Amino acid sequence: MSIRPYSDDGTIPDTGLGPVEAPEGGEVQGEGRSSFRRGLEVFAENRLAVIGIGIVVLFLLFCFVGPLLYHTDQTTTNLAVSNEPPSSQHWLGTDPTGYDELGRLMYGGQASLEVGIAAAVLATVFGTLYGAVSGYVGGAVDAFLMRIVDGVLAVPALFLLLVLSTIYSPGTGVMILLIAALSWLGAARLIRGEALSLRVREYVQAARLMGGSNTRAIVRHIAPNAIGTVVVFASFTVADSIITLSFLGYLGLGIQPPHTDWGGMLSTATNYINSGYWWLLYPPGIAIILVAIAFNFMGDALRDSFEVRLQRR
Amino acid sequence: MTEPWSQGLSLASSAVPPLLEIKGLRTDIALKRSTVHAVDGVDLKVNAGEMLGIVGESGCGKTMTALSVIRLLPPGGRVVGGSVTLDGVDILGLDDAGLRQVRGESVGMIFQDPLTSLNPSMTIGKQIAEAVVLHRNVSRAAARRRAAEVLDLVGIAQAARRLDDYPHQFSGGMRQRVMIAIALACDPKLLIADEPTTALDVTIQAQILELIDRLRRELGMAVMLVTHDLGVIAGRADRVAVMYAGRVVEQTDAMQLFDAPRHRYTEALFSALPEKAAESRDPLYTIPGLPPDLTQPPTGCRFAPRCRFAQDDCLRYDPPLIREPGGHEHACLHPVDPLHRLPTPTRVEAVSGRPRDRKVLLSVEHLVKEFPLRSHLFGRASGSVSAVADVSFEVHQGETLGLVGESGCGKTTTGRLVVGLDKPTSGLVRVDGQDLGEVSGSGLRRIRRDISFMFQDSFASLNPRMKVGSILREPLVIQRVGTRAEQQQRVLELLDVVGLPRTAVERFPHEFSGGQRQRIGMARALSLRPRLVVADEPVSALDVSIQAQILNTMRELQTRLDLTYIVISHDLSVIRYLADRIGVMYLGKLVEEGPAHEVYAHPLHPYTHGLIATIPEADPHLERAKESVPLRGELPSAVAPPSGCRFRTRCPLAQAVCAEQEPPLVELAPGGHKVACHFPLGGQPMADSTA
Repeated sequence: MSIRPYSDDGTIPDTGLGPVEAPEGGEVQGEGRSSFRRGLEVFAENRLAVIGIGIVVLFLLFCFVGPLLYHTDQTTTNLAVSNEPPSSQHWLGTDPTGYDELGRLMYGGQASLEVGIAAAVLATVFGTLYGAVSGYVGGAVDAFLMRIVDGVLAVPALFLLLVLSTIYSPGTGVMILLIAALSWLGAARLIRGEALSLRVREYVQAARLMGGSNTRAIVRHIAPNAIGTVVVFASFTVADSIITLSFLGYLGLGIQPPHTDWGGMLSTATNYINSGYWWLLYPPGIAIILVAIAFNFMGDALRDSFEVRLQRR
Repeated sequence: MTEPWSQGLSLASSAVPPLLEIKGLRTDIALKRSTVHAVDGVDLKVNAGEMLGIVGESGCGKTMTALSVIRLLPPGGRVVGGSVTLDGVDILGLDDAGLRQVRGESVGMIFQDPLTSLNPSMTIGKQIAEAVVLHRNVSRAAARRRAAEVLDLVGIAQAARRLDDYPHQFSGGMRQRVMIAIALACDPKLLIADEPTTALDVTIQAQILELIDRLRRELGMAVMLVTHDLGVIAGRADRVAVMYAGRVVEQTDAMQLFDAPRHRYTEALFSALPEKAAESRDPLYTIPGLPPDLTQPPTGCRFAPRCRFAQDDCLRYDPPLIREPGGHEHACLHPVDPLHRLPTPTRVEAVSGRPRDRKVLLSVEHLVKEFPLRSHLFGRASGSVSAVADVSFEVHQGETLGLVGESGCGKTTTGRLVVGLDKPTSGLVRVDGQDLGEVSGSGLRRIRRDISFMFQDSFASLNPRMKVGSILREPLVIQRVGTRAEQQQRVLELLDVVGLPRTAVERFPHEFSGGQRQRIGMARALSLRPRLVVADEPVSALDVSIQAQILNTMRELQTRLDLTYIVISHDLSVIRYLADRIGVMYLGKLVEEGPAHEVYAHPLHPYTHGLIATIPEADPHLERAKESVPLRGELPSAVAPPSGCRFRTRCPLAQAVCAEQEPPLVELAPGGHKVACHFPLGGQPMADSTA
């Protein structure tokens, strides 16, 4: 009894073999759940990650839904009520120009979160494509593309940010582009390394042996195995971008008044650091730290959920 | 059990207290959600100057037992019961300082992988001296002198001058010698060797085992040798403990164990060895199923579910370790009756292979592969590694060619060239008359169906993010064979063929055991109905019992599907069981090729002779009769291979002509038995293959 060869018209003839009663290879353990389900379980098991998600959701609600419930004027200055401590009218007091501090925190948070998330997405998408092409094609193309990355990295980031933010009037859109322009380099290097190691994996070689194309190798084998790295990079980059924006804002080069972000608010607060106006300093500072930590927690847990071996149990 | 030596042994052991005594040892490893009871009530003794072999399959607790002795357990590991007494000291009661004193001072340890056990950024002299300084109150100069001394002891030439070398300047075998030197630095009373030769080639393995044995005799050290390889144990150990599922199931004198095993597990292990059926070519005995899950150990005898002699009481009662008169201990309710042992296959005179009357399927002509060495992308090649140098052979339809040799001999590269994973520097590969280098496009696609490759590492070769169903369907999708439904049907049939349950379709590769994954790899290799399968080390990562299952399946499928195999392995006993013809490679050259039984019984090349003599066999009588290590030295660099015959640097018969002229591969004996040697061995039978 033997399996007949495939016929040339591309159909599969019947083998004439029935199912085997008791497979000699033994039974398989496990429940055959989907990769996504299992990843989700690993993620949910990580308490810090759940806290992280909670913090991010709270801040998103606070910044974007909060202003609908807590109405404040964030356009006209009112020096008559400058630097007032927290009261029933202004829950977190007012700043030197008379803006309500709690409202300002929501307003500034919108800019911080928008820039952070958008810059991270932009940097990750561009950097991933760039790195994937470089790593998979290899050879001279790889060498050329990576020298460009090295060249940009050789310019001090702070210097570049300072020059660019003085040339262009800093708004949310400009900030997103600026920060993304610096962050994609990390993604490009990371994914290039990943692609370099993935393309010589035995399962990619096996696909090539079957006669599979490059497209297939990338879409079916390399991309799904690199996606974990990409997502983890993105979540860390959100935190980094928010900090970079705060840092520019702190130097006074961030988003310009009357708009603001958390970094800009901190910058204002430091002028009064000896005056005891704590309500100017702590809220934006704590907000930055909490959001940055939350995204880092999520990144750690995401890395674990994409690690297949950790899903075994 | 009336042999005088076994009585003497039991008398001696009762008079002098043993060096190491382990009683009722229990070690747990805590996982996230469960606890593995890795060692569950183990009693062992090691007398001074004695070598105790601990043998068992992976996961049986042998390494955990060894590590428990010096409490060097992995994270989550904890000794939860029993006692360990070393030279009168209760190890489990020691504090950290006392424990550090014992480690290195009284107990030396060698690990499996010499590549990762040494610090790459420290000279070896410093690493050895470190061990001395930690335990002895001596000056740096004295420690350095001691380092040179032990390095010399482990057989490293010009020891004093090599002290300032870094680990990367040593070969794998040399690094294992350095590891042994570190372990010896403080004159330990007990040396624990955990799979000391598993990562090494068989020729180097023999050298290292000989070294350990010599040191034991000269230094009067006791040795605890932990291994999965029955052959390694057979030649060297005085006593052997067989472990299964966290327990010692049998313990006795080495000769006694191999001659008359009592436990059914030991007996089954012996029957599963491929050399048992190499000549008769009968299917190997396989132990069905898998070892039990040690998070929930079964009640009753732990081997009962896999045992062919299990009876009702085996599942109900947990058999204790019984000591028979003469000192043979075993834990089996229905032990092997020495008088009614299953007949061991007698070594029959080999049948003269299958006739080569079928057409040539694969022919390889003057194949050359060189890998250029470049310092950077635009740099000029500063030389090249000669991986395959002018190799030619033919494989007929339906036959199996086995390629053997040490690592770095070019056997895997040859396999990759045959399937087209790499492009040859020069030379031809013809499959069914078609030159693989000439076809392209649809022709190449077509020819891909005829040849497939089984990877060595079944985990690395299966995409971890694809379900087994998609993995097996992929070749069909790529080759556009059949409709979706037909492909799915085909996948189920493939699972049946390789002996996996159909539910495997929905699972991911990491949910399978090593042997099951190798079956998936096999199913994928077979999905396009190839005519030629190149299998690279198909069983080297598997335990003996699982290895036998895979070998049987490969043999069975060959006849059922009329397959032609090229099997690449460093393990001659595997090759001997599977192959009709054997090709022996050395440093890129095919030095001998011929019918399997001919090559094995009457090797013509001195290298083949040495290689066969080096393989440890699971028979203490044969092993102890062997004189000494037949193959000295290590494989030279393939960047600048020796002139003339490449083997001449290690050959005992080498003459001036060997350095000047390269010997051609010529047919010297009937059956197409070819050799490339100026002084072939004249076909005398090997001393140890006629026993």
